[in-house]
Amino acid sequence: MDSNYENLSDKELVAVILSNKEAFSVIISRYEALLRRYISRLGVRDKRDIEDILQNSFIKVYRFLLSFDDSFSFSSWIYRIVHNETYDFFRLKKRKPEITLEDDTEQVFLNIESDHDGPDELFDKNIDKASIQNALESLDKKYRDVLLLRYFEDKDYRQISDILQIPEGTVATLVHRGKKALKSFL
Amino acid sequence: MENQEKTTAEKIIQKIEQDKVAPIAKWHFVLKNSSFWALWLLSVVLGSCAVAATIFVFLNSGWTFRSVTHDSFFKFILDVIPFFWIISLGLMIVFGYFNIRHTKKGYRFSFYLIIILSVVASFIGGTLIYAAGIAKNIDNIRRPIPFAKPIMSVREDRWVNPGAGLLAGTVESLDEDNQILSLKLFKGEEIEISTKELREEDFDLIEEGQQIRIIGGPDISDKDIFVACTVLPWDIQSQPINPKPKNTIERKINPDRINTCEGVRPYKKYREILITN
Repeated sequence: MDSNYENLSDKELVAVILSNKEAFSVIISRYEALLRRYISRLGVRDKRDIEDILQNSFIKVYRFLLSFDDSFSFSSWIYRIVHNETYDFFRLKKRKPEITLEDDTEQVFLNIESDHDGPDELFDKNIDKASIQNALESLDKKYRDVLLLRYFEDKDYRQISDILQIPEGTVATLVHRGKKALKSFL
Repeated sequence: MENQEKTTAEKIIQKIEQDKVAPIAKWHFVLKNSSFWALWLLSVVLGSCAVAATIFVFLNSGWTFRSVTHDSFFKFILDVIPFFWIISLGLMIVFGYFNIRHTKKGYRFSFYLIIILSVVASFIGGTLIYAAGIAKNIDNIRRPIPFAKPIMSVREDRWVNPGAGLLAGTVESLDEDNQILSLKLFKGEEIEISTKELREEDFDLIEEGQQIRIIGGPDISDKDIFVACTVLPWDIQSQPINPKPKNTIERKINPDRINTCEGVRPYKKYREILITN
């Protein structure tokens, strides 16, 4: 049944979800791995917590489906819901994000290197994963959020702007300052 | 056990069905978004009122005669700056910023762009409201608020001050010999004023129902009689498109004015202002 919907775009799927919930399961399948990883990168360690946040997020997506404006990217919209749900979780449970980096860290730092502003911005290639983890954890939330989205989730400035609901100019400033701040912690 | 085998999608769909979760109606979001835009518009309208009142206050502060009415420029400035309206405008801009940021695409605008947009919109709106001639009524709204007197009230207090040789009010009548003017002061009291030392041009302003200002002082021979030395129109600037009334305060006076008025303190200052202009 789902296969009928597999080839549809996100926006086309949104249009048919109301008449057929199966289309929603395609959306879930399409995003669950990405979002699970994003929740983990935001600092949720416990797998059950990640599943709860994910489930609550998708239920919220369903409830707020008619608020989705197709002049926006669906991916940014769903990321925004997950982002808010994760920070609500931290607030309610009175927990702090615990950053855990995965094995793709090296690639992420290649991304940062390739996006550098000048020779002085380059990172020391001998930095280990634990130092980076600590540095990210020490970063101010506003910098950590944009750096995670820019270099770990590979989002462009417009998408980050839509996810965090801040102007694109502010995103650029935060990325620039965040990189400097990250470097100072390493 | 059965639940563990289900995929995430199946579990979520099941939960949606069990809890009878339904999408919130679209009108709810449209209404929410429209409300924030409407509140932003309201903040601009209220900000425009504040700007209109500020223009009105500044134009009616009595700049020309500030040395007649105030001891120092600093005291004059403190007296005329409409803090109430300036603070109101500031609050409306903050309120507008908050509302526009909560619209669907509001976050895409930078802080400075929203502030500049709100300020420019308030100034355009304020100028239009002022031009429509209702700025005076808006400024009067603050009459019941302590420490925020409207400029007309401040002017009335400033000019209804016989001890300082200043009077203002509405002309009730002028006797047949053109000697005694009956004036109803803005503070309600009605007094009779000697007009024996007024010039022809001054009498042009003395018409029943006309609002006027008088500079003068007690008669040398009888201290209970107030002698008018010059008459000025109340001259409220309420809209830029209004033509100035005839015989405005800017008109020149003849330096060889009748001697009785020479000793009157504000009159002397008044003369200095007009002669140097």
